[in-house]
Amino acid sequence: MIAYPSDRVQRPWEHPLTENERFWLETIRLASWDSDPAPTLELVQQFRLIFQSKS
Amino acid sequence: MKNSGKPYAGTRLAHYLERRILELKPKKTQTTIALEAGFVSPNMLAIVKAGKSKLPLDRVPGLAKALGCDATMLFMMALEQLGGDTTELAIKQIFGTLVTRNEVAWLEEIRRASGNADPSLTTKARTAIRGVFGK
Repeated sequence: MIAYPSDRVQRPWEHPLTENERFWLETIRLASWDSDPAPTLELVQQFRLIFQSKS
Repeated sequence: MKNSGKPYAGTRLAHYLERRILELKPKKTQTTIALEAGFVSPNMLAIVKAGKSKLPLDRVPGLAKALGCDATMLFMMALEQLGGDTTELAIKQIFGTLVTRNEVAWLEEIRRASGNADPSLTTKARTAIRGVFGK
């Protein structure tokens, strides 16, 4: 049995990425010039608008 | 050899180092970064930045800390410099797509905002992403 610390970061490779998710990630990397943008409140709010306009 | 004496000049890591060191210039010099990263010779960072040598994988944690960037991102870039050798293939086979802590948050956001619908990336969404992240 493997014991994990409770505050470990959930890495998506524990839940394999789908092909679509890989495309999303790659697009974010390209658009941000590999700056690895942090999910600030402002960015997350803008990002959510993408999904609202999809519906 | 693609570029005489600079086989890694065109890699993402070389480009990233050049940009990041420039961004940090008001705060610390390249030599300071190299020393903080644990390079025995500070000149080694200049060599890696110029693409004359690849970044050794065991230097990734120290350099990521010195650059103030995510170690996974730097590790991915260092892996790319191996050019498909068996180490890179083994790591990809075992760990799959490597992602940074920030990317974990974005993936969770995608899953939450879409209700785990695994949305495809439309042209419209791609344009919107450029608007959000492209500064």
